[in-house]
Amino acid sequence: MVADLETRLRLARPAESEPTPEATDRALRALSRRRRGRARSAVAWVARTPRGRLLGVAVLLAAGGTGVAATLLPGGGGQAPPVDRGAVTAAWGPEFAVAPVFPRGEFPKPVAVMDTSGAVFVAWSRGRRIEVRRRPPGGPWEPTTRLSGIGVGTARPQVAFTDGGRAAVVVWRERIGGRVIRRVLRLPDGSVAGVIERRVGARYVVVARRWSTATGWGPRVQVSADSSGNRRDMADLAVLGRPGGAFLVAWPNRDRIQTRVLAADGGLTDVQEISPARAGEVADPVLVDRDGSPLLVFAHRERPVPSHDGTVLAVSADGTGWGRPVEVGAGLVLNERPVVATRGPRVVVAWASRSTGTHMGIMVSEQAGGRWSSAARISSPTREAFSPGAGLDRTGTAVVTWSVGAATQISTRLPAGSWTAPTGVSRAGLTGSLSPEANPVASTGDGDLVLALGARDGIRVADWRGGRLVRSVPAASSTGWQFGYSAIVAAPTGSAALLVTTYRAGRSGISVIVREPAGLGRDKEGR
Amino acid sequence: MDVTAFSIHELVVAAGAGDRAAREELFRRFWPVAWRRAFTVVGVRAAADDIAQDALITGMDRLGDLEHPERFAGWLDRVVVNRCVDWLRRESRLVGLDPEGGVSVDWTGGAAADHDLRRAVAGLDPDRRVVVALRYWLDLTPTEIAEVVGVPVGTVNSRLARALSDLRVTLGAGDGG
Repeated sequence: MVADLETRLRLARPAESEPTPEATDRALRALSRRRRGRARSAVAWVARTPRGRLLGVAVLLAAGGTGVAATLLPGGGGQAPPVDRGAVTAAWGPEFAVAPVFPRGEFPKPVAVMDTSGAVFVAWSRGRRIEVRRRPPGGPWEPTTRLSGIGVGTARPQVAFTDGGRAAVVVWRERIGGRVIRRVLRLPDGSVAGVIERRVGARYVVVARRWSTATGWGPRVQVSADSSGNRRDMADLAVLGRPGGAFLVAWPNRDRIQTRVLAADGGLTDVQEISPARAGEVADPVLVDRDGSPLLVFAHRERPVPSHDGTVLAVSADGTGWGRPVEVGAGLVLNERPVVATRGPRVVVAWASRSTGTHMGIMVSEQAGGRWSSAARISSPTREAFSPGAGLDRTGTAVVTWSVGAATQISTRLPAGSWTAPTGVSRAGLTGSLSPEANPVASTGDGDLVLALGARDGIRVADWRGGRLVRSVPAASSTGWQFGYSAIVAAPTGSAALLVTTYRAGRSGISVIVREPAGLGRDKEGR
Repeated sequence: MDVTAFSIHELVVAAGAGDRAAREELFRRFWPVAWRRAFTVVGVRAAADDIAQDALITGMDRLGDLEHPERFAGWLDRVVVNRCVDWLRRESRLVGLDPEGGVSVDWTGGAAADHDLRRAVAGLDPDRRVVVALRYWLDLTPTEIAEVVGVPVGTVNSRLARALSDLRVTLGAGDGG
C-alpha cells in the first residue's frame, strides 16, 4: 500500500524546469550591486544608504504627527488659490502595509473604495490571484482574503460599495483554459540559452464575487455572457454600486462596451452593448453616478497601438437602457484613463491629450444642462502634463489637478467663471510611469474634496473645503520615482485613505495611510 | 586568475575575501541548483526566483560564517529549504474562500493522475510538503533531509508517514494505495 503511493509520488515528479534568463540576470545584478550604496533596478532607484533610511523614518514620524502643518509650495505660474491653514480634526495615521511583499518583477496596481461610514476595501492581483482586505471604521484591518481560484490568471480587479456600505463587489477578469508551452533551449555544452514560453488557447471572462455584512463572501459569478480569446478584451473593467444592492459592471469586448447588472439576489440582467459610431478599439471604461443615473465614459481609438489619436466618449443611461455615445473630446493618450467627477447633474471629464509634435496637456470638458462644453486645454502648452484629477465641490466649483515634472498644479473654475491659470501646489509631480489611473481628487460625498499631491519626500494630502485648500499633510514616505500614488478615497465622516505603491529593497508592496476623525480607535501600528 | 577551475572550497574562500569573479562563479554554479530545489518544493516560478535569489545573496553575505567552506552546497540547501518553508507558511496564512483552495502551482509534465497527486501534495501542511518533495522528487534520504531541514531523523520519518496518510485521505479511499 505504502509502496504504491510512494511509487506514484516518484512518478509524479514535476518536469525539469530551469530559471528564466531574465530571473538569472536579475539575481546576478542583485548580487553584483550588493556592495554599493545605491542600486538601480529596471524600474526604480532605491536608496539603501543609512541616510536614506533615516530620512524615511523621519518622514514616517512626521506623517504620524498631528501638529505638523506643511506649507503649500507654489511650483508654477498663476496666483495661488486661497489657503486656510486651520487644523483638520481627523489625523493621518502611519503607513500600514496591507500587502507588504510582491514577487520580484510584479508591480501591484491596487484599487480601493470607501463607504459612507469610512470602511475601506482594498483589492489587488498578486501572483495572478485576486486578494482583498477590508478595514471597518476604527480598524483593525481584517486578514487578507483570496477570492480567485487556482491558476486562473487574474488581471487587475475593480471594487465598489453600495447599500450604504452593507454590500460590496469585486470584479476581475479570469483566464479559462489554455496551456503554456515552455521549451528550454540549450547550447551544445548543456547550458541554458533561453526559454520559450507561450500561452495558447486561453479565453477570458469577467467574474465577480459579492460581499455583504450579513453573509460575507458569496460564490464566484461569471458576469460576461460569453468569453473572448483576445487578451485585450475585458482587461479594463468598471463597476458602480446601484440602489438596492445591485452593481453595474462594464467591460470592453470585441470593440464594444458591454454592461450588465448584478442584482442583489445574484441574478444577472441581459447584456447591453454600446457601439461607437466609428469602428475602432474601445478601452478604459469609467462608470459614475450622475444625479442617480449611471454615466459611462470610455476611450475610443480608431487606430491600433501605439497611436496616440483617439476620442473620449460619454453615454448616459435612462430607465430603458443606454443612449447614444457622445464625443466629449479628442486626443486621448494611451494608458491614461480619463477621470470623471460628478455632483448633481454636473459632470467634469479630464484627460491627458497629445497631438503629434506637442506637449501632452490636460483637456477638460464639462456637461451641465445636458450639453457638453467644447474641450479646453487648461495646462500650459509648454510643459508636459499628466495624471489628471477632477472634482466638483459643494459650491459648484470644478477642481482639476495634474502633474508636471516638478510640481502638482491646479486649476479651478467657478460655476459662472472661467478656468484659472495653472498654479503649483506642490514641488513635485504626483506620479511616474507605473502609476495607475485612479482619480487623485477624491470626493467625500458631501461636497468636500481630498487631493493627493506630489512631494519630494512622498505624497502630500490637502483638503478642499468651501473653495479653499485647507491643509497639506505629508502623508506618505518616499516610494521612488516610479512608485507612489495609487488611489485616494474619502467619506463624509472626515475619514480618508491614501493607497501607496511602495518599492523597497527590490520588492514592491501596498501601503495604506488612513485618516479618521477623533473617537475612532486606531492601534499603534496604524491598523 | 581562472576561477572556473577552482574547487568549491577555493571559490568560497576567494568569494569570502571579496573576489568578484569568485562570487560570480559561485553564483553560476549554484543558482540553477538552488532555483530547481526551490521550484520543486514551492511549485511557483516567481517564488522560486525570489527564494533562490534571496538564499544566494544571504549565502554570499555570510561566507565568513562558514567553518567548512567545502560544505557550502549543503549549507545553501538548508537556507533554500528554510526560505521555502517560510514562503509556504506565509501563503497558508491567507484565507482561501474556494473549496478547492490551496496554492496555485506551476508544476508541469506527467499524466492527469499526476496532476491530482501533485495538487494533493500542494495542499499538504508546509512541513510535510517539504519532506515529501525532498524525499520523492529530489531523492534525498531521510538522513539528508534531517540535515537540510534541521530536525531529527525520527521527525522526518514521522512527517513523511503523516504526509502519506494525508495524501491517502485527500486522494480518496482505495486510491493511491
